[in-house]
Amino acid sequence: MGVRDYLAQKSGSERLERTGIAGFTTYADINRSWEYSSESPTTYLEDGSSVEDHVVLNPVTLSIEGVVADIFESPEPLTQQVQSLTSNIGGINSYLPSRTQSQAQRVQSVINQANQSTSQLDSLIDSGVSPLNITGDQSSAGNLQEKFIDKMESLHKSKQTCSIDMPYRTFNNMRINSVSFTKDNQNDVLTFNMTATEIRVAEQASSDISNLLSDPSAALNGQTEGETDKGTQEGEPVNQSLLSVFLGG
Amino acid sequence: MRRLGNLGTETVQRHTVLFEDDELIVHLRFFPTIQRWTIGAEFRGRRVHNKSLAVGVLHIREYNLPFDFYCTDNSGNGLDPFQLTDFADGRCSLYLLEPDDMRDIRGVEVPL
Repeated sequence: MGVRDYLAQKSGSERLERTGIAGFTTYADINRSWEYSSESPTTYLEDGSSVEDHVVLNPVTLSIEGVVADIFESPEPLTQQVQSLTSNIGGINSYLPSRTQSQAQRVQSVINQANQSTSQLDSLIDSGVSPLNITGDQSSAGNLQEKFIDKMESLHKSKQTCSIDMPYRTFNNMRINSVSFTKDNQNDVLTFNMTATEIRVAEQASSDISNLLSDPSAALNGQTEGETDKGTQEGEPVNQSLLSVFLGG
Repeated sequence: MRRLGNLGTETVQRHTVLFEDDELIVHLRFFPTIQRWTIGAEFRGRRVHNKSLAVGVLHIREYNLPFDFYCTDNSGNGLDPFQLTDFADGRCSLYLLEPDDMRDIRGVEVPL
């Protein structure tokens, strides 16, 4: 089937969602979920009553079940653009300003270019060249499934956090807790199950109290003083053997 | 080996020692409640925190640094520095061991 025939098809497959995981974008038929939770611990008072006046937010957890294959369809943008150029079955032009000669020539050259490119692709396909060699990622670093596994493995070993794009949200500082892979050799796809948790890091803050508590009592012997910079020195060279020093000489 | 000077009676001191074409920051601190001096050092991104000073021992052997600290009791009693005035009065002396000294002690080259 050539490219032109493919583009002429009305896309009947269900819409595939794009999910970004640590910069790796997968077109995958996925099952995804994420959870927000919080706790209100009970604190008992002296009179026996209780209050729940603390709300503790738990880190966001999410899970993704997806599929990584080597050939992905992205028909809609390409179809719309090429079809609009090559199969214009009619339009209302009466209200448009009339094109100048150079504009008309430019439009025609773009249409010719699209036609030429699709004809070239068709001729290559007819001659037996695999479509995989024409389009897509031409790097020699392995196929898409292997790249995905490499990415997940490097995140796991380096203990790094990453950003994960979900529908309507992007989650930053996510630590992928577990990811399991299943290779389906019949359909040549890689199925994965992943869970991730948000990492939250405490921010340290310190302040110098020496200005507030400068020498409140002589008995403290200056324990609340700030650091005194004694300047730069080279030290005094000592002409003495180390052994004699150790032996107490 | 060099003897560090200008060790006054301040409880928290910071000394900058010119060492191996770089700077070695030495932090000295005195704790009057436990009568103890501690030493810390920063050199080329590595830091040692609050080692208690004692007479007659090397203090940071396990850090594999190209230097170490040695303290002596000049009164001959073998007492660790425990007073605020020990270094200022000269009862105790603090020495910085250099890479040549560390090489003699360990018997191998030391990483700078």
